[in-house]
Amino acid sequence: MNGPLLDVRDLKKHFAPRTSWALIGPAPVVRAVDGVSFHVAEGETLGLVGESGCGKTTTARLLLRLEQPSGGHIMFAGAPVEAATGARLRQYRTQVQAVFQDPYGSLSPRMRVRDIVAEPIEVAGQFSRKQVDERVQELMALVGLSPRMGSRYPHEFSGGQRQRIAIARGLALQPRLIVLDEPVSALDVSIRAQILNLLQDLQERLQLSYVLISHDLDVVAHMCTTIAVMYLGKIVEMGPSKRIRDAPQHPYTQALFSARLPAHPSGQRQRIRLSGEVPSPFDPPSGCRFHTRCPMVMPICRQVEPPFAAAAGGGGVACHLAPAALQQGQRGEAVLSD
Amino acid sequence: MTDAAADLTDDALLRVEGLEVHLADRDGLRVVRAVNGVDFTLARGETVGIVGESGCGKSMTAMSLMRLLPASARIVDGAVSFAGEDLLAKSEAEMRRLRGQQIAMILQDPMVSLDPLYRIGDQMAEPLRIHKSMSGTALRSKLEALLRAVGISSPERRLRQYPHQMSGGMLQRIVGATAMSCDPLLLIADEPTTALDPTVQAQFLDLLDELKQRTGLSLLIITHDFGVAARLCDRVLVMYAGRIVEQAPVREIFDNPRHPYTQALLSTVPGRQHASGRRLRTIEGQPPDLADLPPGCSFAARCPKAQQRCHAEAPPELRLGDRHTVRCWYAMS
Repeated sequence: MNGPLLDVRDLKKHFAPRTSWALIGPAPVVRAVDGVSFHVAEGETLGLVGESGCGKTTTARLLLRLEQPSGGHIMFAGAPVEAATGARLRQYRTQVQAVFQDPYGSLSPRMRVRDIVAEPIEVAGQFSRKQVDERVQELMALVGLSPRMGSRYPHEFSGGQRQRIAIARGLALQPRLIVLDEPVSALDVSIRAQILNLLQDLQERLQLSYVLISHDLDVVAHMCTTIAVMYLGKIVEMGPSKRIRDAPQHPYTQALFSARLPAHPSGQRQRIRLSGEVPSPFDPPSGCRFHTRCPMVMPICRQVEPPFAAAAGGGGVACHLAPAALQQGQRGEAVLSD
Repeated sequence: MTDAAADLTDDALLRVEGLEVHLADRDGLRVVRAVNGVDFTLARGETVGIVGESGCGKSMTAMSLMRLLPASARIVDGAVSFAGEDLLAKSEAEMRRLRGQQIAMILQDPMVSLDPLYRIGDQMAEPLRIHKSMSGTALRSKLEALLRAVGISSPERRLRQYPHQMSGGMLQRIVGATAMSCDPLLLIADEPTTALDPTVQAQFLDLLDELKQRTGLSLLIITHDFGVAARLCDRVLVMYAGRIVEQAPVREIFDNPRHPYTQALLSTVPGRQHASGRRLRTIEGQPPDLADLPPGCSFAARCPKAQQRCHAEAPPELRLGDRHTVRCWYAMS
């Protein structure tokens, strides 16, 4: 295949409240996702990071087509799927699956594990009872569960085992992309490592692509090929995982990564403290959305939204201060170099 | 009590000896040994972290100190002394006078600690009204000062608001401010930052650090995250299956962990291990059934170094150095 498996361009999701504001004025709109672009190649992992409310989960829901995009494009294996309906949407949904944070909430307590894993295959139709059974056995073995456990109910399993069941179910239709929304946050430290290893093994064996959402930056840096950092509905920086972790260029990325807990008592990081709280997404700040909290804010930041420009070391960054952006001259408003 | 702990007790604010907590199973037939002989001390001004995974007994230990165990749990043995007083001998009325005044607690989820139906100001005022008989202008200015001290601006307005009008990080700071309101000697924080975003977590840990410096209180932090311990603690206790399997000053725990469980836990976390390979180290197997503990070391079934002796005999607490103890037969090798 040429080109990336998933290619997202200028994707938007604006939520308008249901109540009528006609008498008061135009309805306020939350720009939860406001023009994000990224792509994921086959066998690669993209990490989406940012604080609560930055739009990462809405982005994931758009990819899964659980939300209808307000604008932009989602190209999957070369074909647009943002407006797909009927058979095409069903086809797309077999190719893209999800694993969520809480393995207690995502598995029906009234179904046997065997039936939980078999359900997507049965819904897809066209398989005999025997084929379904064989596939279930195969899937359970694949995620490291004994097929004999199939007749048990979810409450008989530990958190880590439940997450294996959720992964087996996610793999049932042989998807090419899996959206992992905080897949290990609810798990104990020792179990977390098992699940992360399993996800990596499966990726290698099945050439899966992942979109991983996590607030644990160490998990993201460990798992991802590329990391995209979101703030108030926009990607402010994106690039190879190592570059983002070791040489972040956007002040927000720098602050985010500096807030990681130390790996050792002697390693107290020089923290970049952000002032204030994340502004309301009803009324995002003018210019750069981060300017109200940015420790390095300049006058231009309040007026002009910085373009997303190539960053030194790979990827890109949307900041007036980023060296690569300056070198590119920013055309129209390039008063800085003269 | 062990020798190692005894050395530290001159200045001890809290001393826990041989604490055992049993939980009744639903059918009442099995006894779950949630806490199985825990000894430790906490000096004045010291910050100690109890690190362990779900079900290791860390929260049960904390709740025992507050005497706030669930109805199915019972303290069956041990002693807890706090500022020279025997906490386990106190009546419920006496405990109520201590809680929120001399011992305060912060829980994981601020929405559990705060009532959604009451204004922030009314909730924050409660301990001050009860313990300090404060009211009127004095109370209001105290509350405003408390909010300012945890970095919340326009406190007059915040005090009139309800919990749903604020972010999680702000609510946790309010819980922190409330806990500090009566100048407690001991603050117990049970996973205080687990529900928070990393930036907010870092801010909250800064706040705890600052409160500690300013007031000299003792802090007991319950966490599953060694990073929290690295950030804040003077000393770390590692718990497994109801027991403290290792305790040492924080640097010693990181640089020279001697219990195989501590070693394994430290190396399973991405970004914190020495090797930078793609595969993470894991701990195979599951913790033991607390209603049916093995006769030997409770970690033996999962331990890569286990010998025959480990399965047969529970290791005693070995003293390795000045303040380092470990429950492992082979910690010296």
